[in-house]
Amino acid sequence: MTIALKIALVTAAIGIVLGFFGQRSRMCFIGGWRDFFLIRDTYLLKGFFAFLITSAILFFYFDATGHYMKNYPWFEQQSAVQYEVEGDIHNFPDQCDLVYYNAVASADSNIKGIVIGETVLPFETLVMYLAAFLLGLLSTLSNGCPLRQHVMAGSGNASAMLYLGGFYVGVVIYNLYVHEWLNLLIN
Amino acid sequence: MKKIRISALVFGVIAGAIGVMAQVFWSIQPPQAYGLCMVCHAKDFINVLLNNFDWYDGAIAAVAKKGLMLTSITVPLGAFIAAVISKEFRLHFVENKYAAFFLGMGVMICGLIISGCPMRLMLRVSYGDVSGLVMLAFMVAGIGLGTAILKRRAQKQ
Repeated sequence: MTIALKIALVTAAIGIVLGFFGQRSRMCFIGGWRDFFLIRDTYLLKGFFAFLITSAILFFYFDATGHYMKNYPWFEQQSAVQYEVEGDIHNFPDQCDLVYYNAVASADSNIKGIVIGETVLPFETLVMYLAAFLLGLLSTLSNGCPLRQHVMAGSGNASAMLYLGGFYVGVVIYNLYVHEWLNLLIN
Repeated sequence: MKKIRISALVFGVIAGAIGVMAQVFWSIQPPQAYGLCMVCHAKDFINVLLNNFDWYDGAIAAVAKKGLMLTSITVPLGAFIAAVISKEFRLHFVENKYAAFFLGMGVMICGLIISGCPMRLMLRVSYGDVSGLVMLAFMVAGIGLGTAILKRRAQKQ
């Protein structure tokens, strides 16, 4: 079996299993916090924490029994890598790989950011935190996390189908416009 | 066929196990903690198809150069199968056309800046990412503001 066929089959199988169980259990990762804040209901929040704890335990187990996992305890990499600015070009971190960088840099390196005493909070980390805040806000306004929207689109909800249309258009707009604006911001 | 009902806690355990084993055993590997993400896999799927044009140059992950990632297509398909089997399929009509479309665009753009959806953010936290914890806290703060807006909107009526 070639690797192309293996990746396609694995992702298709994962998708069908997640879609089936997601529809049967109406699980939503954002809805857990929303229900907890509104009516103190913890049915969905238990799924949130079950996901977190299960994946933490399994990652630790597979690392301890000898499977190779690159950069496993990731905070070790985060304290070891320094900021490197090559010439004048400093790109926004690529959106595919895991990025490890210092969240805080020293004030004598030429990284643009907010200066507090002797350290500099770079604009990259501030933009990422702002984007995480906006992700939570926009997801509650549309009544679901991305997984829940995919499941609702499969159950016949036409709003969720338009949401998926917006997803695919957003990829194009990010690659054509937003990535360059972010590069302009941090240079 | 009898209806199978799964609780959310069981779904969390199953999804966590699948997300870890997809990286360790089933070779969705070079970006770490990448087994499950709706935003990232949708981005890989669209960019692989659109890179055939000359004027487009989208970034794709290392694993997407080897094969096509189909999760964004098969999750609605699995939900469709489950809804049809238990007779819960019903075509709703759209409440507000523009809001759904632009919210989808906003969520995708924010997700690409932090390189993950909420599921992948949790996988990163369990992989040892400290900045992922701070992002999760900001996300919960955003959810708090969103629920305040929804509550105010419901009280005005």
